[in-house]
Formats: sequence, C-alpha cells, structure tokens
Amino acid sequence: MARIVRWFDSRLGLSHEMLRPVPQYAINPFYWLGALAVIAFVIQGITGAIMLLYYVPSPTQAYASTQYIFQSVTYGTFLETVHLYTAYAMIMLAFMHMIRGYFVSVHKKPRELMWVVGMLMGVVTLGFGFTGYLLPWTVVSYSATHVGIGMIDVLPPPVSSFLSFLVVGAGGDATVLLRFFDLHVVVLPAALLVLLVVKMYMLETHGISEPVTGSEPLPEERRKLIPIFPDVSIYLLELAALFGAAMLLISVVFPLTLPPEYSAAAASQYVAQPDWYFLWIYQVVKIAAFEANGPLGQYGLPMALSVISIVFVVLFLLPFIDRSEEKRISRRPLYTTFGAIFVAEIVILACWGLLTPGETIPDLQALVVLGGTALAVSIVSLMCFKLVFGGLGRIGGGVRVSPPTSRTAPVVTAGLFASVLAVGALSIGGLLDSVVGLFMDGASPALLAPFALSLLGLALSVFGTIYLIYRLDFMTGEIRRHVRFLEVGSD
Amino acid sequence: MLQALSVFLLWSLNPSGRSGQAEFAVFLAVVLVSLSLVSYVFRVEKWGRTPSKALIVGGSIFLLVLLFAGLFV
Repeated sequence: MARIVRWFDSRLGLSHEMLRPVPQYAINPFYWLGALAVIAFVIQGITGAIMLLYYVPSPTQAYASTQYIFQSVTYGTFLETVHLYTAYAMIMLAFMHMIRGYFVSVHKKPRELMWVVGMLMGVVTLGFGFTGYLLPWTVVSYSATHVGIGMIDVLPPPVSSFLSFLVVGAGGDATVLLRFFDLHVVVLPAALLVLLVVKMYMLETHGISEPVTGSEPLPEERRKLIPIFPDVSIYLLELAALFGAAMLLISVVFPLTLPPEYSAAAASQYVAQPDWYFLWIYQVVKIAAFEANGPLGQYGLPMALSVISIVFVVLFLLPFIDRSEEKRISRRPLYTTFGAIFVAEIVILACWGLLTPGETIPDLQALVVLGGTALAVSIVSLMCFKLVFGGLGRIGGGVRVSPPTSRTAPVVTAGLFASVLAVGALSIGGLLDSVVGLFMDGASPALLAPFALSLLGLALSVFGTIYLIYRLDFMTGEIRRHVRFLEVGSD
Repeated sequence: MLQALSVFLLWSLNPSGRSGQAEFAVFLAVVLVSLSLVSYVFRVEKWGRTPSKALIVGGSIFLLVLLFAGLFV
C-alpha cells in the first residue's frame, strides 16, 4: 500500500505544499462561507449531471421529463430536492460571504479586485437561480421568469439588445427554454469555474485577510500556519459533511412538490412571484410610483431598475468608494450603518414581498416601511457606537461615554436588564399581534405602523441584550466597568 | 459503528418511494455527521488538544436521534 501511495505521490506531487498554508485564526466557519458555497456548487453539479440524463429542454417535454425524474427515477425526488436546496444555500452563503467581507473590510487594499471578482461570482450565482427556475416549466416558474424577461425591454438599448439576443432569441418559448438550459448547464458553470480559478489565484497571492484587533497585535499563536493538506483539508471535510447533512435534513423536513405544468389557463390562476432571492427586487418594482399608471408613467419601471442597478454598481465599486485604510468597525460608523441598513432593507423587502404577492405597494407605505427601517437601524447603530464602542469615531469626533463607577454599575445594569425585558416582551407581543393581523387582513398603514414600531422595539431589546452580555462577565460574576466589544473592531 | 449500521440500513430501502428516499436522506445525514465527528476528533488530537466532551456526547445523541427518526419517516 505504502509503495502505491509513494508511486502516486512521486508522479502527482501530493505531499508538496501546493497551496499557501492557512493561519490558525482562519480555523473558524465564518472564514469558509465562500468554500461552503463552492461545495454547494459541486453538489449541484453532481445532482444536476444525473438529472441531465433524463431532462429534455423542450416546452412540450420539459415538465413531463421533470415529473418523470420525480416519480420514476431511482432517488429522483431526493435528487431534485437536494439540487434545489443546495442552490438556495449557495445563494444564501454567497450573500453572507459578501456581507461578512463588507463588515470586516476584506475589500480594502490589496484585495480590491478579489472583491470585484467575488461580486461577479455572486451575479453568476444569481444567474444560476434565474435560469434554473424556468427549466421545470411549471406554471410558477414560467410566469415568474417571464416577468423577469419582460424587464429586459425597458433597460437601456445596448444592454437590452444584448440581453435579448443572449436570453430571448427569436424563436418563442422553445428558444427561450433552450437558451436558459444552455446558460444554466454550460455557460454559467464555465464562467463560475473561470472566476473561481482567478479568485483562488488572488487568494494564493494575498492570503487570507487578518482579523482586525485594534491597537493590540494578533497573538503569535493565532498566526501559526497550518498546512492545507491534511490539516485544513480535514477541517473543511468536517464543515462540508455537516453542511451536506444539514441540506439532507432540510430536504426531508421540507420535501419538494412539483407545481402544475404551465398553460395559459393555469397561469391565470397564479400570481407571478419570483423565488425568494429576487423578491426584494420584485418588491421595489411593485411600488406604485414605479408602476406604468403611476406618476412616472412609462419611465417608472426603468427608474426602479435604475435604482436596483445603482445598488449593484455601488457594491461592485465598493473598494474604490470606501478607500480609507481603516478596517476597524469602531472607526467606520458610516459604512457600518450603511451596511446594516442595506441588509435590513433587503430582508424587509423580501419578507414584505412574500406577504403581498402581486399587490401594488402604495407610495406612503413604501416610504414608511423603507424609511422607518433605515431610521430604526440608524438609531440602533448610532446607539451601539455610542454605548459599546464608547464613541462615534470620525462622526462624533471621538466622543466617549464615561464608564459608570463600580458603585453605580450594578444599578445601571439592573435597570438596563429590566428595560430590555420590558421592551422585549412588549415588542414580541406587538410583533405577533401585527403579523397575525397582516396575514389575516392584508397590509394596511394601520397594521404596518405597529409592525414597524414592534420591530424597532425588538431591535432595541436585541441590542440591549448584546450590550448586557458584554457588560456582565459571567465567568467571574463581576460587572465590567469598561465594555470591550468583539475582537473585530475593538480599540 | 454508527456508520456501519447506517450503511447496512441503506441497503434495505425502497429507492423509488418518497418515504424510502426520505429514509435514505436521513441515514446519509447520519453518515455525514458521524464522519464529521470522527474528523473533528482526529484533527483536534493531531493538533495536541483535547476534543470537547460536550461536542462528542451531544453529537452522538444527535446521531442516535437521527437513526431512530430515520426508522419512522
């Protein structure tokens, strides 16, 4: 056996250090969100390749072949379900990877282009979702995809004609399905692989970004380098196995059922609604001001798409906009608050879209919900900076709150604890009440106002809980006078 | 041992029925979780540290729960 291993090693060079070793601080799941997204991509490749043996990309046979996979192919339902849930997981992991990168400033010098390539990979990942959704040719997928295709026409002429040529062609449904199929199984996987190689090359060049530890240098023990093979590979194996198990269990708990086949009659009974990862875009487009009969008329939809495009352009160009070398969260209140608002708005828009399928959103409602969310997040963020970091960095000119004395500390802590309990209990009650109301009676300003207030209250109580956790030293039973925040971003 | 048992159970499944496929998924999850636990213990001991008892006991209980759940899905 040893001779065989040596033979292969001498030919393939497995024992040579091909990849840069990984520092000890990177042995943390949050550093491997991108790797988990790649693992999800591999699982999709395997399950997708098996389904390719049976799937027929033609409008007359696409649904029947998908149904055949579900009902007659050995482990067919299992394959379809795992393929779909790993696709969802890949999109979610890519989003979390981006958000984490934003908050810990991985986009800063010298990793600007890594960020841009990562964003391109994110767009390709969304492309997988968009193209794959149509393939089963169900009434839901057909209707939602054609809403998306319809948006291509209102884009600026060069972009519109290029996308029409690429996606729509001139042969009706058959051409659209075939092009989506080609994009999904050939073009996008190839593009993602090329981008992955480019990103891995840059990762090898620059290494993994160091955690920001403020003025104190990172301990030598945490900088210790660990070889990729076998140590880090085993760690990745652990993460991958747990991820795979989670996907399998989710697919058992929420089994997939195939919606009816697309037909004009069936489509009239369904409200076109995209999958969850595009709901935030859909919800923006549904705002009354952007509708064709709104104040902007025919320019409404192009205006909505322009707003969404600006979000993507800003994300792409982030390294060239946020150019300061400061990486500590405590010294980046503006960008941290913007990031928190972005995440909150995306989540609120997606949940809201789920609750209001096909409904036009009145302008005032949109203003209250989106503006209220931005305001609530800004207040919580500013309070965090004021209380936890003890200042507002550049905004507040380093204003610091004087820490309570040891005599007043228990009183302040007890008061905070009581307030957090009261606000939390009231908010949860109010939130449940308003969510039930929203489900039963639909969205209305009278119900959305208490909903927004309860959300704000809940956010405040979550913040209070986080603050208390850092204030109370559970190990020693003491109350800290100075509150040091997470290692990332502390002074 | 759990891996061996779950692999044995995999052979007894009906691969075309929905229930059989759910059982397959649960048992495959058992295999993956146990693989993860074994890798964890191997890695941590290789690095000269002591594996977390809570993690091993918790993981083992979770595996047993999954195995029993697999018999009833």
